[in-house]
Amino acid sequence: MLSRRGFLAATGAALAAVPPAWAEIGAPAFVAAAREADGAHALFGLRDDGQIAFRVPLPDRGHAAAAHPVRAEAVGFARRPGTFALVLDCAEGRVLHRLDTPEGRHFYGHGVFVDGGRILATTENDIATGEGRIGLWDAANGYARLDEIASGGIGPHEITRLSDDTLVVANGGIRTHPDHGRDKLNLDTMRPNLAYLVEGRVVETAELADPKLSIRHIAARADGTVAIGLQSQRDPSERVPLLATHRRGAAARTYGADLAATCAGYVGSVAWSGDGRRVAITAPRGARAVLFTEGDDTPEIVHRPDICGVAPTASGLAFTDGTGGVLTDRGAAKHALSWDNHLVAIRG
Amino acid sequence: MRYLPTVLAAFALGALTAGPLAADVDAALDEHVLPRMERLAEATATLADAPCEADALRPAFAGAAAAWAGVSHLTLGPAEESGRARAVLFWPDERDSTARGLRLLEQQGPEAWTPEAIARASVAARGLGALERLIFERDAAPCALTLALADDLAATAAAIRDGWTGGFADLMRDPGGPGNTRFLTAGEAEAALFTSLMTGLELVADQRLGRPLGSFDDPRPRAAELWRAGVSQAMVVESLTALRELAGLLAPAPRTTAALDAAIAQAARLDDPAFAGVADPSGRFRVEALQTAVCEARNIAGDEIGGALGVRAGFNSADGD
Repeated sequence: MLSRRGFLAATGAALAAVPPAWAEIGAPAFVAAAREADGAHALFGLRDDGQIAFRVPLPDRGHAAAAHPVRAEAVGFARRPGTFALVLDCAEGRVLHRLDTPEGRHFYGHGVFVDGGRILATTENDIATGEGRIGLWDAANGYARLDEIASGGIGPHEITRLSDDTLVVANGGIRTHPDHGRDKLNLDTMRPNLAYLVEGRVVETAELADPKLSIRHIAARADGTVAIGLQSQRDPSERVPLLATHRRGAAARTYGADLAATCAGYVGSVAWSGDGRRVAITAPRGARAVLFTEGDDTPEIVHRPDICGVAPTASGLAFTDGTGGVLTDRGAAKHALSWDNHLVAIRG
Repeated sequence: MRYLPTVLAAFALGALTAGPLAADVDAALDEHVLPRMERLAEATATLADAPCEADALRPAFAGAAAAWAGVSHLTLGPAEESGRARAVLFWPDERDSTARGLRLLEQQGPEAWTPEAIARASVAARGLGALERLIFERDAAPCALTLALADDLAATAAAIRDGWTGGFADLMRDPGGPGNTRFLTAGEAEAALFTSLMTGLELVADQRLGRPLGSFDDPRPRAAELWRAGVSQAMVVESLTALRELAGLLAPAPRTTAALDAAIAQAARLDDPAFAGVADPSGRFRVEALQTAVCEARNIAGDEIGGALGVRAGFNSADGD
């Protein structure tokens, strides 16, 4: 590998392409992918009042994005089973790098920056065995593939980090194979888990009592409590919890069974509010988001058609939906586009 | 009831572009939704006020069932709050939950037949489904239970009406208004009404007709909606009539209204009040033909009205990731 000095010399021209800090482009609050009215796809930056801060074209429909903690740089993942991701310069609106999965792997659609933005971790499928992998990419040096580690389960989907850089992986438990698109190949034997990874090794996993609830989307609070948005693989009308919370060393707790029918057993995203007092799940098939507050048994419902994206604001929550709506605690906006599944907060 | 989540501070939304063609939301509310919600409240109140005799209760029950059929497509807002729609009519009821729930209420005895206790009971034991069994199979006995269930139904219907008149209609009339996160633009209110139209047509084709039809080898006449009361066919006619009314208010839709007029006439001609005919080939053929006509009307409405309003299907709800 090149030394830092050698790298600088070798890529002098490319160095100028390192994007500025988020603060220098007006400190947008979120990134989210969307389909535009003419059918084109793009990654957008959003301000905390819901207005658009920037737009970077994408070649195809995106799923989630990962925002660099410092640089105005975001990684857009193709929908699964995609084999590429694009690193975007959000200041200049251009592609900086293209990440291709190694032979025999594909992305599952999510990733997260760790180590102060020096490493990007991505959820991947080892196609031959179905084992989940976490790809590690050198975000400080042109996104070279550094390594990969076991995710601790099958079908890793969303990945996030705790404040000490522990990686947390939602191993959805569902095996897929790109030859069969999104077909679920192991519903009878699925065993999802939530895995904690430290220094490349699984140090703890947590399972729920019901293995038919796919652990798919997660969000971590500052104190390390992980909220889990569930997707039932049972009949959509069956009474099952939709939300779980877990903290290392403790048992998972579940919530929201009364809501399963109206949400069709399907959670699209999950987020803690900025102040950590509430947790929200979105249910696009129920056209609603459900907000749980600690110590309050009656959850609050936000009705929006095709609502799916949710992310923390400074103290509250923001939502995006497939009809172009953005709701934040600073305002609301309606754009002539369809927001894709996930809204990602830029932590700066 | 909170339509304005506290998470979202009050805000004002600037002027926003409307859809390609603006449906008249006010007209749909004033000429369709609100009068029909009032009718439901009145019809259920009439049922609750009827003397506890089968002869008096039966026509009142039919009136309440018809009024419900005329609004059952309006699942948005007050009807979906607190599961009210299911409390008005728990149907389809594949596991016969109504029988079980009703048995439980009877076992609990008269002390459990208060408005508070009934409101806490399983939704399967409430509403038109439970009343149908008492009124049409048991001569309304025990009377105190019949009256308590009728009172509960009237209260639910009144709560739905009050939800519309006391806030939800105003939310639809004032899209983008301060604190109105439910409807950000006029187009969203139109789309919600259009969704109700499409949901209603699917409900008729897939449930009201599809349930009793079952399959050719396994027709299910006793899966028909409120078949004991013999109002299944009347509910289809009522529902289609209401949907035709809504279609005509949403957009100039000559093809849709013509298709629905034809379907309504076909439904009215059936002469098969409880869809018992699905079990014999000729009767079945006529119900199937009606189902086909409703599906066609739905496709035409999607094309004609959905096209005019510029409404598209869900982006994320269909993605599944």
